[in-house]
Amino acid sequence: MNSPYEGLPESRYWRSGVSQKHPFDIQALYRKKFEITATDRIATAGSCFAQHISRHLRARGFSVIDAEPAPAGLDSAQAQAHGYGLYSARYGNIYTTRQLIQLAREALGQFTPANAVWEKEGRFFDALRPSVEPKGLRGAAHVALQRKQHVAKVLEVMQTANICIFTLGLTETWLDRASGTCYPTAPGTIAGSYDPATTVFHNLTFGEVMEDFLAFRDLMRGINPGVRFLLTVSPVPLTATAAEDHVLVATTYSKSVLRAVAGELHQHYDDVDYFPSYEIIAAPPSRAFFYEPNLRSVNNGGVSHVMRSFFAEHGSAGASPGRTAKAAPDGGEGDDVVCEEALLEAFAR
Amino acid sequence: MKRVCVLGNSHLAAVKLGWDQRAAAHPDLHCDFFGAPKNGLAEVVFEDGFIIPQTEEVRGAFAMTSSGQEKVRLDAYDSFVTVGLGFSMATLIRRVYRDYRSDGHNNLDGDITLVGEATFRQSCTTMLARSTALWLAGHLGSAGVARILIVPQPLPSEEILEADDAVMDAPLWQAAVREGDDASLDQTMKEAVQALAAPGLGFLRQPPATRAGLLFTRRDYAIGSVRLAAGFEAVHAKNDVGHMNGAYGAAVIDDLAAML
Repeated sequence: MNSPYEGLPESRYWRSGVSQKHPFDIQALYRKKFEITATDRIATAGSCFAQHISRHLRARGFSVIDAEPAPAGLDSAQAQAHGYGLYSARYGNIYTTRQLIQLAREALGQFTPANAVWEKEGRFFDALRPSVEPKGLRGAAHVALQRKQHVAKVLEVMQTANICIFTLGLTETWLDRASGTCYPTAPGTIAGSYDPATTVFHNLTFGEVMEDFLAFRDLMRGINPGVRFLLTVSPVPLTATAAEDHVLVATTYSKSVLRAVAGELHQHYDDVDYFPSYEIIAAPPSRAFFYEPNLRSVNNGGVSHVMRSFFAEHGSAGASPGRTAKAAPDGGEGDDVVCEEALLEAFAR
Repeated sequence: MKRVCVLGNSHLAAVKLGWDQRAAAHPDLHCDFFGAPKNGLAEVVFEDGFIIPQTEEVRGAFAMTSSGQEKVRLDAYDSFVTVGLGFSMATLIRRVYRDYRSDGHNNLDGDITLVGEATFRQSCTTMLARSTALWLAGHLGSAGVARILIVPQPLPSEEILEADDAVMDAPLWQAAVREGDDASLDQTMKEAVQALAAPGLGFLRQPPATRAGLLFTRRDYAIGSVRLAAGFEAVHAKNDVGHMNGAYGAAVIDDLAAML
């Protein structure tokens, strides 16, 4: 009697592919769908974990777009604290697909965010990227001007990128009730104040995440017909949940939805690749040793392992990490990520 | 007798002429001058107790400005002074203010990027820290020099307010004043100086009597400025608003003498 499972390579069986392997030796977790070359112009965005991808790509000589470079003279820590150099523009972390499509529509003049300025102690913050000016600006008009300049740069990124790498981070988000404007953090976390009459918690469903991403893909392809997408799912669990579930259950929901959307997009679209950073870090074989003791932050060893897997398929674009002095991770503070979601920890009793 | 070595670029000429005018008023000072045009002072090495030019051009300029010495012997001096060499408001205007403005500025029009005030000031401080003046000061400090004074490049003549667009970023300076950004820029310079101050390292503020407002030098100090060239007689072009004359240099010498 024949079985379709007969004669499959060892990577298809859990015992030979996983349990009998050291996590570092697990092979063939990722097979690239398309090449990424030194001449590709790469846009990066996503949740905190995406910052590692961005930094390592630059270190390997890939052409990651930086449409909003830091003013000369800021060291890397200062620059990162102000949202420079993290991604292809200074949009900060884009945790959800709702933020992503909203920003793309805003860049194309199809959307105007509501209640886009938050205040705290006399300083004013961009509600859609509240961490990029840690001390805020003097006035709401300054925030509006800075946002206008930023959005113009986002459009430049959309027009010039031919590879778009996006790390799906969260499903939980906060919306302006009246307009549906989506914020990366709840008002009151960094600035502003939470008013349940105007702001509502929303946990995106599979269908919504899929719809958001496909809408984003359509917009991008409308500008750049040849653009391709590489998706990853952040392995970083939620710091806190606003859902009615235990944070572990909420994390599983969120990551499951995001992973399922990524999987379906990968299956159905030739221009969408999926890189399994989530599996490498979070799946049982790693026994959580790629996490810091808080079981949430990914340690440098984990990041390095993820990126080794990525570059095993995509190679480098002419630079070795050791030779790109400024962009290369140094294993110290350079590998820190800016993650406002982690601020929610402060609200724990 | 305090032995002073004065290092600089083209702006050294004014200070040298000022010294010629005021030396008799400061009998306790002895000054030697070593200059090289543009950024020639960056083309030196510190070796065996000397500052040694690495190019024939700089070696020749040293000899011309010092009456024959081609290198600087560090232990021959009690103090070192740098003049110009990129430490200037002009650096901040050209390298930062041209492209970036902060929420502390009023002039937010044009193709600029708005940043936070702290970011703007940090950027300015670093630009000054990267100047050849500070580079030299760092080497001098490492070589054991106990007293170093930084003399900034003079603010441009107030004539720049009437200059055409081709002159030394004139539109930027004009807009800065017109829109009321002069106080903020002056404050940025002060904060940068505070941030860069270190034991043994001092900064001379442009003599108040020479200043016209916060961003400029009185126009009479720009009349007859000379080039850093043999004889110190070749006068700058009439539309040069960046270089000052011997009277300006004399004011600098008097203030330096008080600080040394």
